[in-house]
Parts: sequence; C-alpha cells; structure tokens
Amino acid sequence: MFRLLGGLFLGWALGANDSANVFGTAVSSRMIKYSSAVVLTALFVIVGALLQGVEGMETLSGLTVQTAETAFIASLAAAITVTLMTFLKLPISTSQAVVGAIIGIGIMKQSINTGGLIKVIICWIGTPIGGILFGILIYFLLQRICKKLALNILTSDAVLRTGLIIAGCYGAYALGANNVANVTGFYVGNLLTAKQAVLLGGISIAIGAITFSKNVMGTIGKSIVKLDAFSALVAVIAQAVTVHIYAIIGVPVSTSQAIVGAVLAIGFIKGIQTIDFIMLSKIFGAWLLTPFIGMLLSVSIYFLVHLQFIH
Amino acid sequence: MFFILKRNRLFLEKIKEFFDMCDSLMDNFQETIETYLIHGNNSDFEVHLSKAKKMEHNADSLLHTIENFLYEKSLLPESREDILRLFEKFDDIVDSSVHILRYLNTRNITIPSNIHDDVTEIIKVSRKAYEEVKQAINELFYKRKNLLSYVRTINDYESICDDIQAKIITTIFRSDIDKYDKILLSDVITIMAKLTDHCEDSADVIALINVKRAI
Repeated sequence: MFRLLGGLFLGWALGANDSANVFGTAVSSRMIKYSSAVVLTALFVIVGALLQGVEGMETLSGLTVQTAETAFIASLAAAITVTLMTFLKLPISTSQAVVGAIIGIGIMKQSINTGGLIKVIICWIGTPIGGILFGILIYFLLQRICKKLALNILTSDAVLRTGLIIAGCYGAYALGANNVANVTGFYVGNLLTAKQAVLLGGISIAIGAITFSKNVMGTIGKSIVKLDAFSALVAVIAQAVTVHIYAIIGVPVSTSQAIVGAVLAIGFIKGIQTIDFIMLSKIFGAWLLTPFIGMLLSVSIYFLVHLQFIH
Repeated sequence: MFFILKRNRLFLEKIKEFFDMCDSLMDNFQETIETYLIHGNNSDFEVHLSKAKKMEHNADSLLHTIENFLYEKSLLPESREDILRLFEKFDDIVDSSVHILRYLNTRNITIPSNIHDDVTEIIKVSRKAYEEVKQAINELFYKRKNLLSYVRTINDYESICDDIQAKIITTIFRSDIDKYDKILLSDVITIMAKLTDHCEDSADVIALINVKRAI
C-alpha cells in the first residue's frame, strides 16, 4: 500500500496545478471566490473520474506494463515534476510528466510501446491547437448571441456568473474524467481495480485543488492575457470542450495546454499586443522540459531503488 | 434565475424612485432660480431652498439603499464598482444644484437683468444634459443600446454651457457694476456651469462602462 502513496502524491500535485485551469480565469476576474471555486472543482473532479475516468486508464497503462514498483516510481517522478512547476507558478501538463516518467521506466526496462506513445504525442500537439480553435469558435458564437440579446448590465452579469460556474463545473468534470488516469492508472491490475483507482485518484486530485491551487490560478487568469468576464467564460468552455473530447477518445491530455490555447485565442481576437510573450515563452519552455524532467527523475529513482539489490 | 430577475426588478424600482426624487429636486431648482431672477432672495426663495435641502436628504437616503442593493446583487465586482461610481457622479449633479441655491442664499447676489436670459439658458441646457444622463443610466439597466449617442449629446450640452458661461462672464466684466459684485457673479455662473461638468463626468463613466463591456 506504501507504493500507492506515489499515485496519491501525483493526484495532489495534479489537483494543485491543473485545477487552476478550470476556475483560474473566473477567480482572477473576481467572478467567483477562490474557496467556492476549489470546492466545486473538488466535487466535479470526483464525479468526472467516477463516471468517465476508466477510458484514459486503458491508453496510459498500454504504454508499458507496470508493476506496483514501477507504478510507484513513475508516479513519484511525475509528482515531483508537477510540484516543482507548481512552485514556479507554471501551468504544465501532468500527462507529459507522467508519460515522460513512463518512458524513463521503459528505457530502464527496454520496453516502450511506440504506437501508443505516438498517439499521445499527437494529442499533446492537438490539445493547445484544439483550445485555440474552440476558443475562437466559442468566442464568436457567444459574441453573436450576446449582441442579439443585448442584455442589460444586471442580467448579463448574472448570466456570465452562472455560465462561468456551470462551465467551471463542466471543466472540473472533464479534468476528472480525463486526468484521473494519469494519477492511479498505473496501479490498475497490480494494486487496485479500475473503480478503486478512479475513486482514489479523484479524491487525491480534489485534495490538491483544495489545498494548493492558488499559485497557478494567477498565472492562468492574469499573466498571459488579462481576461474580462466574457473572455474568462469563453476560455473555460473552450478548455472543457477540448479536454472532454479527449476524455471520450480515451487519451489523457493536459487541461493546462487546453486552457493556455483558449486564453491565447482570446489574445489573438483582442489583438496580439495583449499577449504577454515573456510569460508565454516561460510556459512553452516548461512544457518542453516537463517530459524530460519526468523521464530523468524516473530513471534516477528507478536506478536508486535498484541499487539496494546489488549486495 | 427567477430569483435574480425578481431582485433585478426590485433594484430597478429603487432606481426609479431615486430618479423621481432627483427630478422633483431639479424641477424645484429650476423654479427657484426663475423666482430668484425675478424676486431675488425673498421668503419664497427660503421656502424653495429648505424644500431642496429636504429633497437632497431623501435622494441621499435612496442612494444609500441602492448602494446596499448593489452589494447584495450577483453583480461582478468590477460592474459594482462602476455602477457605484456612476451613481456618485449622478448624485454630484443634484448636490450641485442645491449648492447653487445655498450660494445664492448666503451671498445674497443680485443678478443683473441683462444676463437673465443667459442664466435661464444655462439652467435649461443643464437640465437637458441631466435628462440625457438619466436616460443613459436607464438604458444601461435595460437594453444597453445607443449609450454612446447619449454620451455625445451630453458632451455637446457641456460645450454649449461652456460657451454661455464665457458669454455671461464677458458681459459681467464689461459692465459697470462693482468689481466685488463682478467676482461674485462670475463665481456663481461658474458654479452653475459645473452642473453640465458633473453631467459630463457621469457620461465619461457611462462611456467607460460601455467600452469595458464591448465584446
């Protein structure tokens, strides 16, 4: 059971980093309180994990065959990577950290499923692009509806706030459905059943969201493009739709990449000068580094763990 | 959603009540100035002034109710701040009208007959600007259309008022009246012209709200 702690640590790290993607824009644009946001995130992450979390687990566990020991190593390596990035306030992909860690173990064991790996990498590229495309599409669609309705300030505020809460809950649901596989997917078949894995994974993500998600929220809502209430709503819906589509396909992708894509879409619409390119380059740099750090850590941990068996 | 709409209706009723009170105050102000131009600082003026003070007090109470409503409503913090600022600016218009009456009362100024028409014109233009601000605020809480056309009209009225003010002050300083009276008269005209300045300040807030919410 000790080995399960790696997965739970990873769940906590994922909740701390990725739940910012769900309500970060709303909290930063002061549409919803941080405390309400994290409670709703926690709740819907668990629901999403329980109802649709199993599909992603099959893809992830198909990359390499994991024992309880390698699952622990992969989780721990990925969790350290994500926690490090969370301290740096950078929204990164837990999926990348996890896949990087799995590749590290695959290298040590000399067994990597390259077919599955290619599918995951294609989806990594597709996620921010999906966020951008859905961001643009949803922006113009909602813009058209709003202009047609010409709502007064009181009603439009009420609609925006309600819409953002609903979209945030949907985003949290998609996060749970898509990302729970990253957390406890390795333990399916060795320590846990699929149902136990999604429940424990969901709960650990929820705890991460409640206890340590404030840092990255500011980066998402303020640092890339300063978002108004309407743009915040668009970004959350675009992120949720993108991630949910991947959850249905069964590929665990990054909510961070989806939300950054969606926020970028707002930047493109409002004018390229609204984008903070320094922050953006930091985020892109972190995305590139994440799988490598995950891989290096898992190789190192694997090596250290096996050192004790020399004598 | 039903609860929100019900609360919106209550809020809009409070705004209407506030505007009605401000309308009465502005009616009283216009009437008082007309009386003052004809009869000067007599007992009738005192009655009008005390009426104006009472109305100003009532308007302030209604404004506090509106402010409390704003804090209870599901408004975004930014919208709440903008609306509060807008009502503060609008309140400056009505407060300014009472200030003019107090000023006339305490200084006991005699307004020469050759500038009566222009003074009346300043008050009329200010009233028109006030009505435009009121319409724009109503528009903000109903359909949010044509807001910028109201803003433009208010700015036009402010320019007209500035021109009249300059004309009156020139007339005053070219007349043969006492220098001390000239300064007092010029001050009171400047204070009267501030009415449209306050209307313009409100229009600026309305324009800002509109820009912030442009999609």
